[in-house]
Amino acid sequence: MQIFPHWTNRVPVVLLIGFFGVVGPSTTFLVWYYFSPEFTDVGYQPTQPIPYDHALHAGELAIDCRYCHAQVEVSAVASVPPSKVCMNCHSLVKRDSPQLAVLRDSVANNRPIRWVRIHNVPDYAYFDHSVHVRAGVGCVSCHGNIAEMVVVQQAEPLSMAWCLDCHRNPEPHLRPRDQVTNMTWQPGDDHAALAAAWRSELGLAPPESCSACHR
Amino acid sequence: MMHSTRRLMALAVMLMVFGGCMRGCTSPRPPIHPNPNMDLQPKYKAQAESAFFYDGMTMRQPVEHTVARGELERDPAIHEGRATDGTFLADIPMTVDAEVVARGAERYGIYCTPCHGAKGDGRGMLYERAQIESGDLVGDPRIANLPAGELFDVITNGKGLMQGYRYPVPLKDRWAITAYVRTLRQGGAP
Ligand code: HEC
Ligand code: HEC
Ligand code: HEC
Ligand code: HEC
Ligand code: HEC
Ligand code: HEC
Repeated sequence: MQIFPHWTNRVPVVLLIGFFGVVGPSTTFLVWYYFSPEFTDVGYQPTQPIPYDHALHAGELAIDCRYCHAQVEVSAVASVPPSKVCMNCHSLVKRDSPQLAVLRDSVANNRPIRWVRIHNVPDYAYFDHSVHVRAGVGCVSCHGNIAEMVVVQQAEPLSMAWCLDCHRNPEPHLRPRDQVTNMTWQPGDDHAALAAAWRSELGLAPPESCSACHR
Repeated sequence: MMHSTRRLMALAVMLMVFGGCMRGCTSPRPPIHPNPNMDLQPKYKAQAESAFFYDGMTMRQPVEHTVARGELERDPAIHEGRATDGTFLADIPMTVDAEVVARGAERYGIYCTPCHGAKGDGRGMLYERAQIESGDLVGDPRIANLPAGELFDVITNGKGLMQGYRYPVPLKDRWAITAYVRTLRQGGAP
C-alpha cells in the first residue's frame, strides 16, 4: 500500500529550489534594501513646531547657514539655533505673526523650542562637523540643497557605506573653504587638479579605520 | 476565473515591491529601523531632551556665579573695549593685519550683512523686505566715528533695537569685525 501519493517524490526538490532559488535571494534583497537607512531614513521630513522655512531664510533672504548654525565650524554638532537668534530679526519684522507664537512663548518663558531632529546617525557612530567643514566639504554634499527646502528633509542615507564612499574618494566633494555654505557653487573644469592640490595642502586623510567613527 | 486571481496576485506582489515608499518620496513619520541594533542608547547627546532634569534639557546651564575655564572676562580692554577708567578705547587692543581684516570681512558677511548690507549702509535684506533701517555704518558720521571700543561694545551687547552678538560670535571674531567695519569707510581696504 502506498501512503504517499506519487507527486510527493518531487517535494524535496521543489523545497530546495524554492528556498535557494526564490525565498533566499528575495529575503536577502528585502533585508539588504528595505532594512538599510537608504530606505528607512532618506526622505524623513517631520512637521516642525514652527513652520520655519529654509527656502525663504537661507534661499531668498540669503542668510548664511552659520548665522544660525553657528557651531558648525568649531564643534562636532552644527547646533540648531536658540530662540534668541530668531529674535534678532523677529523682534523687528513679523513681530505679531501668528506663525511665530511658539517662538515668542519660548523667549518669554525661557524654554527651548522642541524642534524635531531629522538627521541622526546611530548612537554608536560619531560624526564631527568641524573637521569636514574645515576640510572644505560643502553642506550640500551631505544635506542636499537646503536653501531650496521649505521643510527640511533628509537627502542622503548617512549609512556607513555612504560615509566610506566619500572617504575613499573625497576629491569630487572638495571646494574652497569659503564656499562651504554656498549651495549653488559649481566645480570648474580644472576641479580635479585643484582638489588634489587642496587635499595635499591641507593633508586630508579621511579615515577608514573602524575606531575613527566607532568608539 | 483562474486567470484573474493570478493577475491579482501578481499585482499585489508588484505593489509590495514597487509601491512602498522608496528613495525620493518623503514622509513625516519617524524612521522605523527593523533591526534596532544599538541605534538609540540611553545616553545624552547635544541639544537632546532629558526626562531627568527639571528644565527638560540635557545641556546644562552654568551654575550661577561660576565661570567656565578660560571664560573669565578680567581684562577690560580685551573683553569690554574699555580703558581702566571706563572710557571706550580709541583703538583695537590687538595687532590688526590683513589676515584679521579678512577674517572680519568674512564674519561681517555672515552676521551683519542681513541687516547692515554688504556696503555697511544699513540697507541690507531687512530693509528690502521690511523697510527697517539698521544703523548706517559708513554714511552716518556719528556711527562712523565711534571709537573702536564702543563699536566692539555694540557688537557684543547690542544697542537700541539691535541685539548683541556675544553668543554666536567669539571674542576674537568680534574684534576682527570691529577692525573690518572701521575699514568700510575706505571701501573695505585696511
Ligand atoms: C535663520 C536661521 C537658519 C538659517 C539661516 C539656516 N538654518 Fe538650518 N535650521 C534652522 C532651524 C531653526 C532648524 C530646525 C528646524 C528645521 O529642521 O526646520 C534648522 C534645521 C536644519 C537642518 C536639519 C537639522 C536636523 O534636525 O537634522 C539642516 C541639515 C540645516 N538646518 C542646514 C542648514 C543649511 C545647510 C543652511 C544654509 C544654507 C541653513 N541650515 C540655514 C535655522 C536656520
Ligand atoms: C536675519 C533675519 C532673520 C532671522 C535671523 C530669522 N528670520 Fe524669519 N523672517 C525674516 C524676514 C525678513 C521674514 C519676512 C519675509 C517676508 O517679507 O515675508 C521672515 C519670516 C519668517 C516667518 C514667516 C512669518 C509670516 O507670518 O509670514 C517665519 C515662520 C519665520 N520667519 C521663522 C523664523 C525662525 C523660527 C527663525 C529662527 C530660527 C527665524 N525666522 C530667523 C528674517 C529673519
Ligand atoms: C560630511 C557630511 C556633512 C557635512 C559636510 C555637513 N553635515 Fe550636517 N550633518 C551630517 C550628519 C551625518 C549629521 C547627523 C549627526 C548626528 O546624528 O550626530 C548632521 C546633522 C546636522 C544638523 C542637525 C544636528 C546637529 O548636529 O546639530 C545640522 C543643523 C546640520 N547638520 C547642519 C549642517 C550645516 C549648516 C553644514 C554646512 C556648514 C553641514 N551640516 C555640513 C553630515 C554633514
Ligand atoms: C562628502 C565627503 C564625506 C562624507 C560623506 C563623510 N566624510 Fe568624513 N571626512 C571627509 C574628509 C575629506 C575627511 C578628512 C578631514 C581631514 O583629514 O582633516 C573626513 C574625516 C573624517 C573623520 C576624521 C576626523 C579627524 O579627527 O581626523 C571622521 C571621524 C569622519 N570623517 C566621520 C565621518 C562619518 C561618521 C561620516 C558619515 C556619517 C562621514 N565622515 C562622511 C569627507 C567625508
Ligand atoms: C567613516 C566612518 C565609519 C568607519 C570608518 C566605520 N564605520 Fe561602521 N558605521 C558607520 C556609520 C555612520 C554607521 C551607521 C549606519 C546606519 O545608519 O545604519 C555604521 C554602522 C556599523 C555597523 C552596524 C551596521 C548595521 O546596520 O547593523 C557595524 C557592525 C559597523 N559599522 C562596523 C564597522 C567596522 C567593523 C568598521 C571597520 C572596518 C567600521 N564600521 C568603520 C561609520 C563608520
Ligand atoms: C537683525 C539685524 C541686525 C544685525 C544682524 C546687525 N545689526 Fe547692527 N543694528 C541694527 C539696528 C536695527 C540698529 C539700529 C539700532 C537703534 O538705533 O536702535 C543697529 C545699529 C548698529 C550700530 C550703531 C549703534 C549706534 O551707536 O547707534 C552699529 C555700530 C552696528 N549696528 C553694528 C553691527 C555689526 C558690526 C553687526 C554684525 C556683528 C550688526 N550690527 C548686526 C540691526 C542689526
